[in-house]
Amino acid sequence: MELLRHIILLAMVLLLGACSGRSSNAFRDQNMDFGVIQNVAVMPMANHTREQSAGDRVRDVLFNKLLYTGGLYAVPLGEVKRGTMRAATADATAPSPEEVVKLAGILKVDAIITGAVKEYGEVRSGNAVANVISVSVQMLETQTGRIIWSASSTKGGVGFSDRLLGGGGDPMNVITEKAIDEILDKLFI
Amino acid sequence: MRSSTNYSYKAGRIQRAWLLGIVLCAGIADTSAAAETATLRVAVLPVGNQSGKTVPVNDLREMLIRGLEEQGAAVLADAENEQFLARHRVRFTGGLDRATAEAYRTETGVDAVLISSVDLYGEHDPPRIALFVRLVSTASEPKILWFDSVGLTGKDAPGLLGLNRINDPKKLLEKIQLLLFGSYAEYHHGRKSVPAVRTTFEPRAAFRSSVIGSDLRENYVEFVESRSSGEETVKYARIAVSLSRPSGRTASVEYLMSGGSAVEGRDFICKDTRLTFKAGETLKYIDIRIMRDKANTEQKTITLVLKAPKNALLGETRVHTYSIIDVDPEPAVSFTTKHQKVKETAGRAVITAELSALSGKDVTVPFLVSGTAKMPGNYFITPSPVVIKAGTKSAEIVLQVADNGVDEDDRTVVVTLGLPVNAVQGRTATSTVTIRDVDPEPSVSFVQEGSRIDGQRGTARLEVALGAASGKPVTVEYEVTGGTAEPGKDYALRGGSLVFAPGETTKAIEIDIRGAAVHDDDRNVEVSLSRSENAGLGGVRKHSCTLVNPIPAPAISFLTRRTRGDERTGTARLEVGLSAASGKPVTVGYAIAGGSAVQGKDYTVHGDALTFAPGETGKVVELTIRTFGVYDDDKTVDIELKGPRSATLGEVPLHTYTIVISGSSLQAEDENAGDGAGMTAMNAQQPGPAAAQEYTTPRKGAGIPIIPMPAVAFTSRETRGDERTGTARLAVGLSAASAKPVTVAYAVSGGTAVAGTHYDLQDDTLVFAPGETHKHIEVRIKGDGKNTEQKTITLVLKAPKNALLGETRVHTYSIIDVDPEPAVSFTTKHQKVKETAGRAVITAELSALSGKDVTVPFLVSGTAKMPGNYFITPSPVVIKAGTKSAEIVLQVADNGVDEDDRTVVVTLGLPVNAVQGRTATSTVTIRDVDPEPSVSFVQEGSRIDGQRGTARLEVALGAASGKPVTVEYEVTGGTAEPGKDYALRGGSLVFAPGETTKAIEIDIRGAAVHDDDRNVEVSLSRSENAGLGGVRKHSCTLVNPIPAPAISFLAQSLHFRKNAGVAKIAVELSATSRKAVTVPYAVGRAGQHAQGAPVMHGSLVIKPGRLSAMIDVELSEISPEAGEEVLEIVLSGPENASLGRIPVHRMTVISREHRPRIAVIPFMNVSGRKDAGDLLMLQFVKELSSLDDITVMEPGVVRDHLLGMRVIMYEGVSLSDIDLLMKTLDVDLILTGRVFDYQDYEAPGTTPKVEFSVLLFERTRNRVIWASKSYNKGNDGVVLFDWGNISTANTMVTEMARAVKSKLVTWE
Repeated sequence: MELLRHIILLAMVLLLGACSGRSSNAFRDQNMDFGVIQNVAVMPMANHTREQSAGDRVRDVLFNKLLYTGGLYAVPLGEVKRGTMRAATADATAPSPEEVVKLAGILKVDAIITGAVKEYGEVRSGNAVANVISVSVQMLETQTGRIIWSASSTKGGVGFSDRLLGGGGDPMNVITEKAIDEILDKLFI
Repeated sequence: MRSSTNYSYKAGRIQRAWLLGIVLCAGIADTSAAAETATLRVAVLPVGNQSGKTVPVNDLREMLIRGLEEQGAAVLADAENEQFLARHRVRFTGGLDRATAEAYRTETGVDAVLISSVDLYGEHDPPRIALFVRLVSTASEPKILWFDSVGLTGKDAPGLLGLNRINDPKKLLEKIQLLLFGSYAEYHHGRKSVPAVRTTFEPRAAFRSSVIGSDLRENYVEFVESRSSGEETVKYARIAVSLSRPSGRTASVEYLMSGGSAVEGRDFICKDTRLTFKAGETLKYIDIRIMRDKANTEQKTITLVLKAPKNALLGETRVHTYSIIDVDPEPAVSFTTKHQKVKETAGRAVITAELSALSGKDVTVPFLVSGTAKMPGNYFITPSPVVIKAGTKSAEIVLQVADNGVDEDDRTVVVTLGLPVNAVQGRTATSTVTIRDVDPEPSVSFVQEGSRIDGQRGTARLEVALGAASGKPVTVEYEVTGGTAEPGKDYALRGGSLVFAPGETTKAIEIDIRGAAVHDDDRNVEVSLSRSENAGLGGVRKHSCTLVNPIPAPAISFLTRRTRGDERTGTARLEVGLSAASGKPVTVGYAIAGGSAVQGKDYTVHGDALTFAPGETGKVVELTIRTFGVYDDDKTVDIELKGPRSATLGEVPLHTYTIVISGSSLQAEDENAGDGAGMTAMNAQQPGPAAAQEYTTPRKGAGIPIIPMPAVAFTSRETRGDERTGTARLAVGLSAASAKPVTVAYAVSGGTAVAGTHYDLQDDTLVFAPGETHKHIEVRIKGDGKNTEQKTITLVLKAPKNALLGETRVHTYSIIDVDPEPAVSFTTKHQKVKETAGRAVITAELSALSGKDVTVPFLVSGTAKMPGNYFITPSPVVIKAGTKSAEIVLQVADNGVDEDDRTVVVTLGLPVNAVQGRTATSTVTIRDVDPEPSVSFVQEGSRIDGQRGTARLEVALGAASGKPVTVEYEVTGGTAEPGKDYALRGGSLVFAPGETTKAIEIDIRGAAVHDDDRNVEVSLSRSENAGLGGVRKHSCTLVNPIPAPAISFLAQSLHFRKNAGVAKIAVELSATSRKAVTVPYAVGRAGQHAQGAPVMHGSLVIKPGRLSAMIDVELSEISPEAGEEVLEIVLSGPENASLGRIPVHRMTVISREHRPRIAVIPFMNVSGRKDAGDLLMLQFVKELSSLDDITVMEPGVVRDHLLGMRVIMYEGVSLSDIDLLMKTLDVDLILTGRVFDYQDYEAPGTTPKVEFSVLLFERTRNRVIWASKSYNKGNDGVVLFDWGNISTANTMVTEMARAVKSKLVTWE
């Protein structure tokens, strides 16, 4: 009986491991003192999806989550817009190092966060439908404009239970939050 | 489903009466009218349509009008309303701006405007309606009076089998009317329902700044002041920390000691590290235990820094410096030894300056060096000042003693303390080091044993030297102990003494050399040294000074080269003479050197040598000529002088005598010489006898010798002899013997000698007997017993008889004076005179009368000073020839100064024409008869500014004194504290002779704090060389210059919650005082102080040394009914202080916190739903308006500003826009956000979906204090069978906004 229980447990672990096909990568500059970063600006995100508002939605979640952590103060997005207009930033989703430095002077921030939304919306696998999101985020320090932290996360998609039981997976908002949470976990390690 | 929230302004408290208040405030109606009119006059604006569908807005408006009228409101007629809207071109009816509100009130008289909008409308499947309604006042600042929304569908409550489903839109509208005006009725009757918050609709992620209170304002914690101070005697230092406003939650802040010169544990103890403000508290104190170090130290500081605040932000004053004022007196510094002795070979001596107690400051000790020792000859010393380092107790003054190898007295080095810095003078302020001399006495001796000196008149110097320099005066006596020279004749020197001044190594004994008149042997004087003082006698104690006679030996010679005589002459006398008289016998030999005559046949020669006695100048060689009486040739005899002793051979050492027999030699001479001029010339060269020979010379051409008339003449032109000779014999000779007696008269014709005085001689006649050829005139020379010049007698021959006058008819005899020079002495060795006597006389007297003027030089020395004590006849005085004395007159001056007796020592110099006598020194003692002066303070009291410095108490003598006057002084009383207020120990003043004023210097420490004036009483005692005068005590008042401190409140205003119990209001002094400060205070309501009747009053006392105290105000006694009460605490009429910068404190007692103003601006809409941003805005306005403590701006006013300011929001509002809006709207908070989804009920099977984020900005720091993200669907709240489902976005947003509001306000 004991043996059977162990076998079942092992099988469940393996099953869970097989289900967790989501991947995430992170880079964290070991030479950077992240303690000095107090204020950040979240730049508009590059949207590579069909959903027009994906970038804004993910950015808004990231902005709120950053404030929610209490560790960083994120400049209001309207202020960021004002900054990019004043700095005449060509592409606010991917500012050059020089533009980063210039923006920092206007926004008075220690770092700038850029990102890209690669997946946002429903995916279909056979008859199963589920939401998926794939986000990558970079943090650029404003002294030189170099990347000091980078992370990405993909959440959602058609899982085992979705295939088995249907149901369409988690709502878009939920997986967006999860993806952002996972990304920020890599920042505040 | 009814899921709305209504808002009524001040619901529950103010019912309809609020309107009356508004009317009164607006001034649009008088009080009586307002009192009569209890009906609310309302204008209903057209219903806005935000649904995107066709809506029967008129029906809805009529429904609203009906509802209002049913509730008793008076609705403005449509026509009038439309006219107003047209007149004012009001196109936007979704809000009410200030101008429109004002116009409504003034033009139509309405009290409020009803504003409504529809955001959902559908008539079928099922019917659905959602709308917002709000009542806004027409006051100058439009206020939302009531706000509600409702969203319903026909299937919200279908009931069993759908029996309750509503399919008719009118019925649904009636239900909505019922709900809305039910809400209005609650407001109207002052009731308020508080719907529960459904957790399902809470925001998903929310950030709320931890530093905001329930009023949503940021709270700051900071020090009340950045600096404070207190004396170290206070037990605790209290440093006030304040919160900017009362907080509804507990706030705390950490503090730490970040620096300062004070050391924790030693100077202070601070146990806690955190201050906690309980809810409602705004002032707390950090208590620091101050530890007194009991050492005089610099002021110390403690620097505190606030950090890590919780539930508050750090304010600007986050650093506080507390200064601990040291009050310990300065330690006393003294020397450890009063006296010590060291040998000069010891190398060093140490004088230690020691503190009475350890000091925390460096103590600088200046000192003065005096005494008899000299630097660098005797010592080197550490230069002044020395420093006693903080924490050490002593410092050394090192005396490097120098061994100078000089015999001298013991020397002293006296080190006297100056006024030390950071310390006072101690008891032993003087330390004396005696340097004992160990060098032997030097020897004194002549430099050489003998010397030779030219015996001409002048001065011989016999050098006497010390073996080594001495630091003491060395005296050695000398005297003449032998020698061949005659004192008084050859030289003048009496015994005496030489005095070597300190450092002098050579002196000379001077011998006055008289000079020799005649050739003589060298003489010598032997001088010996004896009886030395401060030196031993060296090896060469005797010195022989040889006086070398400079007169050359005289020349001895025949007076003529040749003479002649006939054979009848008998004896031929050949004159030999000395060129000058000699002081010793002169001998010369002679012998026949040739000639034609034969010795023994023709002549015989007598003797073979001549001896000249001293002084004798002439002798003859005698030849006896034999007379034969027969013709023959003339014969010659050559005689030569040789071997002279004590003389040299002169020019005529050979003489030829011719015996004239036939005169042949004469003829030959005539022929050869012509006229015999050579003979005459020779005779002319040889005075004396040669002249006599001339007349024997036969005349030219005479063949036979003729014996002519002899000539009578002196044998020499001059002779001399000393005055002791007795009788001088002046030789007169005949040129040839005569058979007849020859007479010749003689007489004194001149000379300097006085007949009868210097000689006796009568004019007389000299008689030569026949054959006699020589006679003498005898002159009796008389000695005068005086030292005089040489004198002369001139005799002349005249009136010869039986002879002719020869050539040498005048003779001068010189009387050489041999009397020694008299000695000149003072008649008195010592004499005493009173300084009032006027004069004293010192007589210089000769031992014997002198024929010469005697010049007596003298030196004046002694302790008396000229002209202060005397005047004296200038040197030299002259004793006139023939007189015996001269007076040196001393005019004694009475200077009126008490002083020691003074001496005038007159010492003889070397007199001219006399020698020093026995008493060569005469001392006159001038006895002082002046009384002692009195010594006293110049005045009885003085006042001096008590700042750090020096007070000088002048002490004066009644009259100047010639003696050093000493008077002791000491502190005998006074209120000032020694060491703290001043530094002065007992001591003494020394007036140098002549000095009449001195000052006692008191080192004033300077007052650090305000206090009464203090005084020091100093008394004089025990004077020396003076009496104590009348003013023996002096009271020096140290005027405290520190002004009374200013008393003031620490803070100008503070807030207190009414339930805080006791409010402690800090009152502080600008500086500590030694006097207790009392200040009455009165607590009263603001602005009512002038009317008296304070709430409470009292008197506050700040103890000496303390900086602050607290006024306790019992808050429970203050105005219980008012929500916010401002009290003033007024300080007045302080004692020992003045009123400072904050004499009035405003204390705000609040029962409810300040109502912040908030503006909600439209959300940025990124959803597909038109007007979603405005709908979110309205929802939050509605929810926030339900809060009692917040004033929400009417959206119409906000919109007006947004348009007026041309605020364009790209991707949201920027901080500069926020700042601008906050200032223009005068709001504390701005709420905005983004809406991403706003999906309403579309069709059966669909559910509404809303997603938005919210940002709240705070004015003070212009930062986000709230951020949240909310998203929900209508069915999120479904529990079972569609139970809990929400069918309209309006209702769902209401729930979501309510949840946000709830979290925002009550976070904890």
